[in-house]
Amino acid sequence: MSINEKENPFLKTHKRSKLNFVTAGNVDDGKSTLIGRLLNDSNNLTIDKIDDIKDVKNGLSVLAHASDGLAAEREQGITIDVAYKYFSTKKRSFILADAPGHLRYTKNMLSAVSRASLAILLIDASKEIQTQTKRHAFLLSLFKVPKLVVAVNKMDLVNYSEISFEKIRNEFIAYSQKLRIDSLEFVPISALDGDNVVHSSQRMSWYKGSTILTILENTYSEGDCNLIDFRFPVQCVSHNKDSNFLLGRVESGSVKVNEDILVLPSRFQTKVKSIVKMSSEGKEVMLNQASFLESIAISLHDKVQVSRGDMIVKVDNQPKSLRLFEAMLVWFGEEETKVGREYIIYHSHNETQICIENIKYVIDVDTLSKAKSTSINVNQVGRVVLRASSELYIDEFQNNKSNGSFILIDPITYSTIAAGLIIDKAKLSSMVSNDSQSNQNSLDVKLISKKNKPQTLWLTGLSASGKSTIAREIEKKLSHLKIDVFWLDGDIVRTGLCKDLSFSKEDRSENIRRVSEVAKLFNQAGVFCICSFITPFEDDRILAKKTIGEENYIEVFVDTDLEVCEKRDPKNLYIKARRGEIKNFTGIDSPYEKPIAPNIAVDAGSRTIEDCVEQIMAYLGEKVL
Amino acid sequence: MNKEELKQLESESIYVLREAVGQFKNPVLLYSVGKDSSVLLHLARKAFYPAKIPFPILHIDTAYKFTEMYEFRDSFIKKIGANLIVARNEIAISKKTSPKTHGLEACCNLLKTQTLLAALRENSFDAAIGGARRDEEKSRAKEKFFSFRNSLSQWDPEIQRPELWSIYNGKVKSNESIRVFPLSNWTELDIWHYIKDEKIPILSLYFAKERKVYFKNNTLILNNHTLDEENVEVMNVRCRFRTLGCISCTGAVRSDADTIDKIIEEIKNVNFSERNNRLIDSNLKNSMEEKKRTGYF
Repeated sequence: MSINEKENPFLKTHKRSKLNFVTAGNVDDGKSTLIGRLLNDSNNLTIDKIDDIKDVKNGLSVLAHASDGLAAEREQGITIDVAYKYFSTKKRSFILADAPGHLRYTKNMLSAVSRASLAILLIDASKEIQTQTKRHAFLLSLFKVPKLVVAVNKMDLVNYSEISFEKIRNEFIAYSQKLRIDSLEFVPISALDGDNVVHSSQRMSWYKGSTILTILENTYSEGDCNLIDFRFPVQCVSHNKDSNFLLGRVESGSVKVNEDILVLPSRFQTKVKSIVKMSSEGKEVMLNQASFLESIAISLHDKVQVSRGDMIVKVDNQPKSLRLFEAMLVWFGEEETKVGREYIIYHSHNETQICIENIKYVIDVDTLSKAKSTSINVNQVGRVVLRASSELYIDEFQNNKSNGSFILIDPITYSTIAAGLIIDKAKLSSMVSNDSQSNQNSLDVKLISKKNKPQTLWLTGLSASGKSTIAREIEKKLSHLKIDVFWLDGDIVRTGLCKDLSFSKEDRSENIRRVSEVAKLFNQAGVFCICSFITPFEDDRILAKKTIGEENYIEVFVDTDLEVCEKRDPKNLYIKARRGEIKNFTGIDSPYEKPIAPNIAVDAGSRTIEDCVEQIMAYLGEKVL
Repeated sequence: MNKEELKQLESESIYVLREAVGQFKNPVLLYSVGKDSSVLLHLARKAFYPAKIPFPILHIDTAYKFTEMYEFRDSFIKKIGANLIVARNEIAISKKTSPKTHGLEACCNLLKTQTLLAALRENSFDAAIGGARRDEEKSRAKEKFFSFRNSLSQWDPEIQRPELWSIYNGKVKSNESIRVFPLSNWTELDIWHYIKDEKIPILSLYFAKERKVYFKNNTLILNNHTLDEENVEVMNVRCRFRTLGCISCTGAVRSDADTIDKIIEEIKNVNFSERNNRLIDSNLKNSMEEKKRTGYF
């Protein structure tokens, strides 16, 4: 949004409003300790609360308990539900939501996340980034929290080392490449000792950035508000004398008196007659205009039948009116959902029936890869097509959080069983069949990543068949497309990672196993991977495919005749093999099993390298990028 | 304190009050006559203005409230033209139930919790709107805006509904209900700033003056004639009430704050949390949590 403070006075005023923020991260990464530290060092813990925690355990770590409220939580040492903490500094006040880390309480964590303007994600500097942390990072980006602060905690355990901090930082950046995070900052901290929480750390003078508290104090709290599209969903209607007042909150945009508006679903067009509030003395205050997040009462020029769930919008800026649409669902229900299941949907004060028309895929949070599935289980994220029994007036979540979100309610228990984020209207074709693969991909790219889905291009073929030359060219092309790419070559790997291995069948298998694992890690880190290895045995290629994941593995058979390879022989390896100086040489005294069903086969013997590269790029362009 | 923060809180509370009316057939507002209740009532007037408050106001009267509270309640409710319901456990009151005869827990349960539950049942209220705030107490810090209660009105933190964005799920089966807490995000300081800005009338008990008090469990208890304890040493102390409940269980704090500005300054610098003077809260470590599980607010 390109509106600056001058043009919009609300930006300026809302900057000083309360900041809602959430803390997330793996169970033992020190969330509660950070909160205790934040409250204590900013002088926000009262004596009775400190007394209350001192009898649990001596020492500073009891600060952790300053935020765990329920007896059950203190006994088990975990956070079940969000605990809200309120504190303030001279600059502003804060609403801190201490969110549970356990997978089981994802729904509680997301309650806090859905309202937060900033998230602090704790990572333990002494460990690798945990699955839980990745899961949280993914959910924070899915829910579009405007600002993410990664607090690399327990720096005291790694001697306050900048290298350890950078390692975590790089690891996180690699993972988050696939996520949509608008604003990201890293702070090295020790919650236990207070370094860089409220006070700058003397022990980490190499860190030149802000402390956690400084970041909190300076973050704009309505970073995710939509200032453009006026949406006024009616909560209730009150009758006073001969006027009807529509009660509600401006969820986005703004409205003025006398402006032309449209009532949905009746599509009745009229003007705003008055915008009313009550003064402190109980008298009427007439407003000229109202903006996002203001709770107001509106009366209209014409007498129109309006009720709860109706939406007031502007004639020239309307939401989509749809029955069939696509959404991401975070499933909370203990019972899985399947195609054909029916639920109650709450969207912008509207309640109606909805049916799961199609499940397109579920997302594996670990790898951020998507997999076909016929069901979505508890705490899984899936993309669905929904059909509502009456029209809904919706926006995409990316553009309008409040009108792009909804919940699903179990029609029998009435519990809230899913959070929904609206993506795009379902294509007409999806009513008949699934979207084509390419279409699905192009939409996914929008949601999950700014870049392509990382995959591994596996080049197999004889020595001197042209694998490395092709790999180098593909690497260049992908880099030009701003795709993070890494090339793993047989010769290089054999001088380091696998220098202990021979060329026996067993060792060749081990070589491929190690390389596949590395390729998988690169993919997980968001990097496209090119592997150029002879990989002579079908079994090993199957192993590589399994390790990397079938959906991420693209096999390229560099099909060059042995004769041509032997003629090229750039490193005189064939000659040596023929002489018997090298044992187990593929094609000479060790077999090469031709791939049974490669994704691509290029004839690098009779065609030019350019042709081969083009053929592979065309495949990638169609199927992957 | 900046005005934006209060505007933000006010708008959020009004939104939640309107959701209560939009989603429930028969909501009621719990009014204790204290400062938070007074703010809540003021917000309810704002939420439905220019119409009147569209639900009744319920006061749970233990018969042990401060005399001034009864007078204030009746005149204020009359002034705003609301519909007041007073609920009392007449049987328990006639049998002289008191903290002395039954102990703190049982007395509170009989006179407050059970009275409240009976009133909700008798009137078939499906939602009860209360002025509890999350920053008051550690189990309240876990509360939802829409807090689900089972058919026995019990609170169970494990089965609460997630509150995503501003979407509240108030769907209940018969006998189940929702407690609605529009003031969830307000702090004690926010309440006082708002009372000042909006000129909301409040009880004089909140302001410091010399009062006749005695010590009970390290707490200053107002000396009154209905519940006089034996062998207490009554003294004159300049004090005020930070929160108000029943006379015998609400302690005063030594204070010179006789204006709202002075109260605000006092709270900013105070080292003890708000409900520290409530005997019932500090009686057991998880006392509020236990009470909520039996149906209390």
